Amino acid sequence: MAPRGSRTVVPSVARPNASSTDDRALIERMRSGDDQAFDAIFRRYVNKVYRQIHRLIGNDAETEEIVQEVFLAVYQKCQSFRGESAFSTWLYSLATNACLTRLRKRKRIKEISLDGFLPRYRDDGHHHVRPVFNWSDEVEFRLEKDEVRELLQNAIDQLPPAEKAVIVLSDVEGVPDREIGEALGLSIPAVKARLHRARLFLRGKLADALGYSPA
Amino acid sequence: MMKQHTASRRQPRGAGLTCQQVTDLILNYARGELQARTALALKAHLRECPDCVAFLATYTKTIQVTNALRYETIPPAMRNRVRHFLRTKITEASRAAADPA
Repeated sequence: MAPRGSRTVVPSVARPNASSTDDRALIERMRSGDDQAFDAIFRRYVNKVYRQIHRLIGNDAETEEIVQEVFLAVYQKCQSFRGESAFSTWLYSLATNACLTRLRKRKRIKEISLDGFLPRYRDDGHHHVRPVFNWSDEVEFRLEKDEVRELLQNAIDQLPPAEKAVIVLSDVEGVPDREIGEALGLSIPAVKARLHRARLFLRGKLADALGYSPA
Repeated sequence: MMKQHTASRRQPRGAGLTCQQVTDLILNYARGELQARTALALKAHLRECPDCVAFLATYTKTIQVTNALRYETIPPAMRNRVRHFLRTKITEASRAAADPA
């Protein structure tokens, strides 16, 4: 996997291979009534859109409804896509907004305080709980892949909608901060702040699952 | 005396950064996006602080396992249903466009 940015320490994910030029050509064909072009867009993006929505929404039935809704919107609104941003950004925006609309309706039910799983510090700025254990080599050793997946999904479900959208787009799908910002209407520093907070929360959840202090 | 004690407690490790400040910088550090001077200060802190080394390792691990969620594809049955739904809608739209009355 190619890292985003230079001198990256953290392995990241590659950007989508589909070139924006290809996308634009397909959109042009769709505009002129070529349904095969829509089919090509569907094939190219359905897995990304599915993952994005599934991670944000968390259940199969609603995920399916929103995947349908998003691709139908692509078909119906392709005339209004002006190409000022990449097609992928527009698509992420459609999918994310469709998810956020639903998530806001159930916000009161599922949202919890993240604080219990975030790091804490003493007045002098040192870690509150010391020593901090390095459990990074224990994840695969102690948890099955499915357990990790379920744990992360449950943790993502507990994030506020904006944090949820940012971590799914960034760390699951590898979308650059700029595109995430455009899709969600956030500045790049705001994207980074939400991403960092979400990562800290997921880290806390993993630590807790392994029997260590999230702090 | 009290002031000295307070100053001592606030004395950060390694070139002026506290663990909390290091945590705040980790995202940009992990991407190599810190200014050189700040990156040096952070590295100096890491040389002296095993807690932050452990924290960085677990933060990095969290990103790695989250990355792994991307290798998931839409279940074939769902894909087929979505496709069928879209084809139906597109056919209806095409018919409506061809015969507005």
